[in-house]
Amino acid sequence: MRFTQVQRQMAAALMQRLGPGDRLARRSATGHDVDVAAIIKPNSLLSARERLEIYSRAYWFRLLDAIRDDFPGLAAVLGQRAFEGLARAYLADCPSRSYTLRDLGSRLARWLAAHPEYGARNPRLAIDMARLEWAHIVAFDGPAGKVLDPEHLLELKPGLRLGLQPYISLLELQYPVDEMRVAINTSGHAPRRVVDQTRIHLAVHRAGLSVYYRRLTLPESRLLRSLRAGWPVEEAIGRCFRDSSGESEEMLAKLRAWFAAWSEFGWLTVREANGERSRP
Amino acid sequence: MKLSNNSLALAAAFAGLLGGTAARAAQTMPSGSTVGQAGLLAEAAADKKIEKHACKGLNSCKGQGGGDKKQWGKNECKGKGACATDGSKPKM
Repeated sequence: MRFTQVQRQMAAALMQRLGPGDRLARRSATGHDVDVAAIIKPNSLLSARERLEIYSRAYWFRLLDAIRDDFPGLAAVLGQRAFEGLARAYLADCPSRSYTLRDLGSRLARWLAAHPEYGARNPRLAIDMARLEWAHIVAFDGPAGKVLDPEHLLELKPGLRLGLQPYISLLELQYPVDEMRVAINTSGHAPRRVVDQTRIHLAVHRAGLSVYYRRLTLPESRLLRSLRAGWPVEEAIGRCFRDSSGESEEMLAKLRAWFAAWSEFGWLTVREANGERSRP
Repeated sequence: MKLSNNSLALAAAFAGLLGGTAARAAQTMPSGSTVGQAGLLAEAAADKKIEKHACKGLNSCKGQGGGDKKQWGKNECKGKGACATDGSKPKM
């Protein structure tokens, strides 16, 4: 057997889902018998299966640890037992596809929305928390685009299109999970009182090396989404205030304050393909 | 939209853009007022005591809490053989 074949079989054996009692499964996910003896030798103390099982369990327990590290808020909302059940089911359906454990939870919120039975008593709250915590990871170490500098503003014109930093997530949530997550981070457990449903708009971002959750008004969120989608600034502003009944002076002051804050945070970027919208 | 003139809105946006961009260019860190506007501090840089998943692939679990039951929390399992797969006992 070629060495690359041994490596592939070894990886497949290690990464297959653990069986009952967290033991190495006899059959792979595709239903084939795992030929352990072909890739690892027994010794006087352990069988080939037992030797391989040590690594397989280490692999899966490492993944479970990583998910728990990345989603402490979700673990607190669900409770430890329910969270472990969720993590195992998620990893079975969505195994790691990346070289880095950082990406392990990238599909969790979407998966949970499709499997609300793992959301305990309040799946909607659990989904919101999962979305926030993935956005937190993206904000922490996601890539950054080229920040808008003063020289980029020399040719300001109505058709100007701006980008938004890719590490910023704009979320519309049903529960105030931002406050919950910060409280959990401080106290280590979810609030005991029942959390009221409150629709919030949130930007999850970073400033320096710290991660922040910034609440947005609906028009502010709408404007940022329109800019990200590639609308020219003038049209994006029109879309943002389309349902507004406020006074003009107030709106102008808001616009000035928003753009000042966004550019000072470094949220706005140069749009390389300064042409088409990414979405209508 | 009650704005009587779109150019007024655009002028307000550009005024903010110029002010914010100039303020950013003039400082190395966000100003106090900007930090206040940043929102809830969810994770401060100082909270990162250890890099996430730092030991993956590096075979160096010191400080991460690995090893067998006797060594959990002692953080000194590197090189002690607690993860040995040949059934041998850790060196004492």
